[in-house]
Amino acid sequence: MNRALWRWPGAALLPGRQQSDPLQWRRLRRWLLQGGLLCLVLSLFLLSLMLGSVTIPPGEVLRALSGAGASENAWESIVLLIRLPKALTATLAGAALGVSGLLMQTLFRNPLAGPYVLGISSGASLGVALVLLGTGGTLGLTLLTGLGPGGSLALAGAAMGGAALVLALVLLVARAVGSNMTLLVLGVMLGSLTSALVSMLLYFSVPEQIQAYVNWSFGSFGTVSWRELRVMAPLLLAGLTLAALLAKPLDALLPGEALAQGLGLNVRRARLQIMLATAVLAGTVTAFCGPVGFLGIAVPHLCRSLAGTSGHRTLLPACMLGGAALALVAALVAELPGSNLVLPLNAVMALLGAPVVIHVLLRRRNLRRVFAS
Amino acid sequence: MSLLQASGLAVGYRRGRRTPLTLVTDADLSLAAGELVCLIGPNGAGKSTLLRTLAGLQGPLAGSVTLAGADLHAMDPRERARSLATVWTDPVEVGLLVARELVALGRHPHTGWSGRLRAEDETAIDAALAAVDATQLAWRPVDRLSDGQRQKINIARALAQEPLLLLLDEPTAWLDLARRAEIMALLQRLAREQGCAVLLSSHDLELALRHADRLWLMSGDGNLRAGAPEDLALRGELSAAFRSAGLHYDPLEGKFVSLQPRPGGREVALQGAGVAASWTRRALERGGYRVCESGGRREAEAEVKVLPRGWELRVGSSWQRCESLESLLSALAVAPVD
Repeated sequence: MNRALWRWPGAALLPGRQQSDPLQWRRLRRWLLQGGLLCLVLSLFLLSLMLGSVTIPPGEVLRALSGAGASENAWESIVLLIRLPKALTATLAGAALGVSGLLMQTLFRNPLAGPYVLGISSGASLGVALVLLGTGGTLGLTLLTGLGPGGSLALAGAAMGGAALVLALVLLVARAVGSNMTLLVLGVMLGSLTSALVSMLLYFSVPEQIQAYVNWSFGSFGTVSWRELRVMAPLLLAGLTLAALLAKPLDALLPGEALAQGLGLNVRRARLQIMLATAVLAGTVTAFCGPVGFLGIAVPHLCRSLAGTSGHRTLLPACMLGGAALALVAALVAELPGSNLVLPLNAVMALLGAPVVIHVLLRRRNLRRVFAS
Repeated sequence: MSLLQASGLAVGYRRGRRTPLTLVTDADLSLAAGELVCLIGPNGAGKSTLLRTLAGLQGPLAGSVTLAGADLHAMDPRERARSLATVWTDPVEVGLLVARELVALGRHPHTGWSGRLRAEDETAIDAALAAVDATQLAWRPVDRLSDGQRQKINIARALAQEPLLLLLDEPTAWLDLARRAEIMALLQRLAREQGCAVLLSSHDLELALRHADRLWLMSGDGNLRAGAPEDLALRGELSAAFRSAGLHYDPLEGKFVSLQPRPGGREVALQGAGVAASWTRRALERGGYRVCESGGRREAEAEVKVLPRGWELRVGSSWQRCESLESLLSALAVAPVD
């Protein structure tokens, strides 16, 4: 039988083909989904370059991007120096969180798992708290104003350090521990432990320091300029590439570890790869944007509902695009276009996203089908 | 030429510094292509442990296992998955996959790093679905399948690995009687037609006796006897293996009967013939009564007459009619004892 894999998927739309060849039909559906999501991300990206405290017409945005120069100098610097890095950050961070949420939900076979179940964000919080709260105030307050030279890079470094510490602990234990469930509980415990340490630090801090820490914990894509992006983007791209290479072991893990082993999968190695990819993705995002929650748990559920499959060759790209789209929307809304106000990103994301997720899950009623309890 | 060969095999668990828990000692086993072998034995005899060892998931305590001439436990897992496929007891939960996607997982040991399916993989998947008569289920979501259909898809997944040896751990445990018979017949057919060796553990002795070419009988004392089912039954080894308090293997009937002489069980005389009488006897025995034929030398305290419709019960000297065996049993239970 000659089922050419490269054939244009639209062939399935020819009369009478849908019913006779479900394989082609599913392939077409996959292409439509990814294509639709890609268009959505591109238009949201353009929109986030246009909207903000001032509205810039799309033609001017394109002129600024192409280097032809916008009709107003201020517009050009707004697009190139503020909105473009921010939109890129939102796109990359959204994709990273969506994918790492998917990795954790598959690895732990648990609908509540997200990028942070390994305790990574708690570790990052501890690093940030130590810098902001533990340095006697001067450095912390400099960071608060965001004007200190290399300030946000130092903050990111601290967060990375904290996340890496927790990750090293979890990976070390993962080598010895046989069961994924033990790992899950371990991650939660480590998270509680580090949160307790942060609480201690907060308790003995002055209000300005606490304010600075709370501001960081609100999450934001706006603190990343080109300088930070030069560090963040390669890390996230590396993490996303690693994740994209894991589609096959992730699929094998769907029916559980015992069966994956029977399929010839080196479960221990796959687990380490999955955890490493998650740590790089979630750790980097937390370091530069703060603990951006919600997105990582929600996007895999939304994408599974849209795609109607748990297969990772479909879900991995869908979660990248879906995560990017959701992050761009949240960043846009948090900006309150036309005003000078900026809302906390985490709050906006949950306010926008939670009703959507609830709606989708109730309508499709397939959470139980995905994660049989 | 045997496909799987185990010599001097000891199976069990290592327990740190304590002496290992040994479930099977010094077993010499062989499996030939095209053969269906049933592994039977009481709970705790080590059936699953033996299967896990033969699947390469755990090492033997002693001895060695070879699969098609190669050491099973030294093999690369991927290579092993190409010649040995397993189906475990627990129902497989895979989330949102259609049956064909689940079967496609069986191609994993054959595909490259990306898991992309080539034309030959698609052919193998279709063939596996056809082999278990599940082609019409291909595009149904796995979670919408019945337990029996799902088990067929699992077997198709194993077949898609194109194995030489198929290991199944109680594949019929979750199924009703008809589905069990169907799966057993299917496995027998697969062994004949696909030419792979099939080894399955089962609790269902009757089905095992009917379909298996050979039995591996584990008695729980570390011994494993192999032989044709009929030989094992005739030599009394089946009944010896399953002997436990109150259970007896009846070689004539080919099934287990419970031997529970209830102390103090009252004697009930039974009058009647045919199917109704035999079910009445069963009900009375289940209720703990000793059943004797009516019209014996000594008149029994209670007597049951099987009528064309219903039953008549005499306790002492009073008669009453019962519409069902249930009401008969409850009437007997409340009857006064002299």
